[in-house]
Amino acid sequence: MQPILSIRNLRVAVEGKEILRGVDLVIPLGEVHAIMGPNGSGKSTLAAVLAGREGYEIMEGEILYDGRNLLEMEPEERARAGLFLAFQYPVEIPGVTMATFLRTALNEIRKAQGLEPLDPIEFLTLARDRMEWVGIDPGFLQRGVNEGFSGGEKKRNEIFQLLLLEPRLAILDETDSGLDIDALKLVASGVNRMRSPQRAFVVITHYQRLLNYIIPDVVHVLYDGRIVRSGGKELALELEERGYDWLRTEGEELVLPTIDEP
Amino acid sequence: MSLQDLHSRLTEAFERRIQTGDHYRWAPNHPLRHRAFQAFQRMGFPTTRHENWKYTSLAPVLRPSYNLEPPSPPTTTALAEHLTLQGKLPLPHLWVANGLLLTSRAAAGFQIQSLSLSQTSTHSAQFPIGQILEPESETFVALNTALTPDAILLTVEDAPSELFHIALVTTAEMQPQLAQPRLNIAVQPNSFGRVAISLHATGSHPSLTNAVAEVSLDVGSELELILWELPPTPAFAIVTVGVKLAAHARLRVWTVALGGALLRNNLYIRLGGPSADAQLFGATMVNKQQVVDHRTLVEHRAEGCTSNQLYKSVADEQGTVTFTGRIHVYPGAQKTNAYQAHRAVLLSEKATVNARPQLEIYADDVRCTHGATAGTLDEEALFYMRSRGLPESHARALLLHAFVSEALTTLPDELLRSSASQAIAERAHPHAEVVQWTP
Repeated sequence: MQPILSIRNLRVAVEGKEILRGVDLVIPLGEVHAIMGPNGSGKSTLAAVLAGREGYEIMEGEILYDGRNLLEMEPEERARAGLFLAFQYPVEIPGVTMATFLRTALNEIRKAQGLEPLDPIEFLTLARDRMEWVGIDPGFLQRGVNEGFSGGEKKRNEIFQLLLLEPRLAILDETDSGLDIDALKLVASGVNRMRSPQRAFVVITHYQRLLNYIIPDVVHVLYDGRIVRSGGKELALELEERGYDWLRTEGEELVLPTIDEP
Repeated sequence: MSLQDLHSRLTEAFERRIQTGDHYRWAPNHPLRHRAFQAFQRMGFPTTRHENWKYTSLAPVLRPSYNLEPPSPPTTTALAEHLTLQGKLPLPHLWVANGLLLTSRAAAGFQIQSLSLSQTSTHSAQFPIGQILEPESETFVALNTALTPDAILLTVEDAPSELFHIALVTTAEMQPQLAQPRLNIAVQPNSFGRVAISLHATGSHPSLTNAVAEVSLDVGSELELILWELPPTPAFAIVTVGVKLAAHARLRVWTVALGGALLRNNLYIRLGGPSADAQLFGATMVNKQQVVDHRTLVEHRAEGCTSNQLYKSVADEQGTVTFTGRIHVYPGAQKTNAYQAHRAVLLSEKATVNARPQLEIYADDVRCTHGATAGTLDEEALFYMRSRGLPESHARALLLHAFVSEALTTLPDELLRSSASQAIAERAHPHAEVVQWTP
C-alpha cells in the first residue's frame, strides 16, 4: 500500500544554517509514528516544513504526500488534502470567533472532498460532540480563537480541531508539553478514538510520557538533523531511561539511517 | 478651477445672498454671517504648510467647479434607497439635502426645528449657532457658518429608546456640488439619546460636503453618536463636530469611515464640567487613493474627567490614513484620566499611515497615555488559519475584519454593529462571506 507520507533525503536550512541534514521517513496509513529527539534536533523544523510554514530553505530532497509533491502545495491545499498540524504554540486570534474560524475551515475541507457544507446547526452538533471528547467547554466556540486560553486549553483546542477536521495525516508537535496528567489523558484518548486504518499520526515529542497513552507503532529518533534510529515502542522507554547522549557516540558509528520495516 | 476663482465665486455668492436672500433662509444679515465670512477670508483655504493639514492636501477637493447653491430638492423617493441606514427600519429621522431640511419624522423625546422655518429670534442670547464652534476656529467652520442655507436643531429629552437618524445628502447629478449642512444637537439635563449621522452623495460628479455640528450635553446627560461615513467614491467630506459636555455628562462617538475619496473628521470635545466622560472610537479602511484624516481634540477643562480614544485603521493600495489626536489638560483639571491609541495595519508598500499624538498637560494630578502602532497583518495567525484550510484571501479578510471591528465592539446598536461589520467585511474581501458568526 502506498504510504501517506514519504520523505526522502530532506535537507532544510533556516537562515543559512542546515537543520535537517538528510531525513528519510515513511509513514503508512493506519500507523502511529513517534519522532523523539533532544532540543534542537530538528523536530519542530520537520513539522513546520510539513505544514508549509515560510522561512525554510529546502536544499535537497522530496516529500510525497499521498503521491503528490507536498513542497509545491500551499498550506491551505495541504490542509484540504487532509494534512493537519497540531501547533506547539497555537496562535491567539482575537476577534475571530472559534465558530467562524472552524466552520469556515471545515467547510473548505469538505468542499475539497466534494461534500456539502455543514449548516450552522449541523456544525454545532458535531463541534459540541468533539469538544466533549477532549473536555472543552462548548462556550469556547463564541470566543476568539485561542484568545485568553490557558496553555493546556490551547493544546486541547488543537486536538479538538483535529477531531473535528478528521485529517488523514495528523502531526502533533510537542502537544504534551505544558499539559498536566489529566489533560494529557484527555488528549491521548481523543487521539486514540481517531486511530483508524485510513489515518496516520506523527507524534513529535521530547518525552516518552505521552507515548504511555498513545502507543506508537514505530519510534524514530531524530538527532542532529537525521533519523538515527528507528524501532518499536520499547525504544521510547530506552530513551527515557538513558537519555539522548548515548546516541552521540553510538550514532556516529552506525550506518544511518536504519528504519525497521513495520 | 483655480483657488482664486473659488474664492471670488464664494465671495459673490455671499454678497448675492445678502442682497436677495435666496437660499439663505435664516438671518441673511446676521452679524455672525459677516463675522464668519470675514474669518473665512482672513484664513483662506489651508495648504499642507498649515499645521492641521500637514498630511492632507485639499488640492483635489477644491479643484472641481462646484455649484455653490442648493439645486432644486430631490424627491424623497429618489433618495430613499440611498439614505437608509440599516435596512428598512422606520427610524425617526431627518434628511438634509444640500444643507436644506428635506423631510423629517420626530418621535417622543426628539424635537426637530429648522432655523429658517422657525420664528426664533436669531438675535437672542440663546441663539444656538456658533456657541461651541466659533467661526474663527477653522476655515471650514467659518465657511459653513457664513453660507449654510439652514441650521437644523435636534433636541433630545428624557430617554427615547429609538436611534435617531440624520442623513446628510449631497446631490451631484448635473454638476459638482458643494453642500454645507449645519446641525445643532442639544441633549437636555439627565437625558439620554442615540443619534446616527450618515453621509451620502448621489450622482457621478464630485461633491463636497462641509458639515458642521454643534452638540451640547447638559448636566448628567448622555449621548451616543455614530458617524456613518460610507459615501461613494467621488465624494469629499469635511465633518466638524464640536461637543461641549457639562458636569457628569457622558459622550460616546463611533466613526465608521469607509467610503469617499477624502474624508476629514474633526472631533472637538470640551469636557467643561466635573466628572464628564468622552469615549471616541474610529474604524477606518482605505484603499485605491482614498484619504481619511481624523483629527481629535479633547479638552479637559474640569476636574475628574475621563477620556478614551481608540482608532483602528487599515490602509491598502495607495490609501492614506492620518490620525492627529490632541489631549489638552487645562490648569486645574486635576484627577484627569486620558487615553488615546491609534492602531494601524498597512497592507501595501504604497499605503501611508500618519499618526501624531499631541499632549498638552497643565495640571499635575493627571494620568495620560497615548500609543500609536503601525504594522502588518499577523503572519503567524495567517499561517495558522491557512494550515486549517482557509484560503489566504479569506484568512486575511477575517483578520482585517477582526482588527478593525475591535473599535466597534462597544457599539450598542446590534443592527448598526452588524451593518458596520458587513461593510467592513465587504471592504476586506469583496467576494467572500466573512461576517463573524457567533452561535
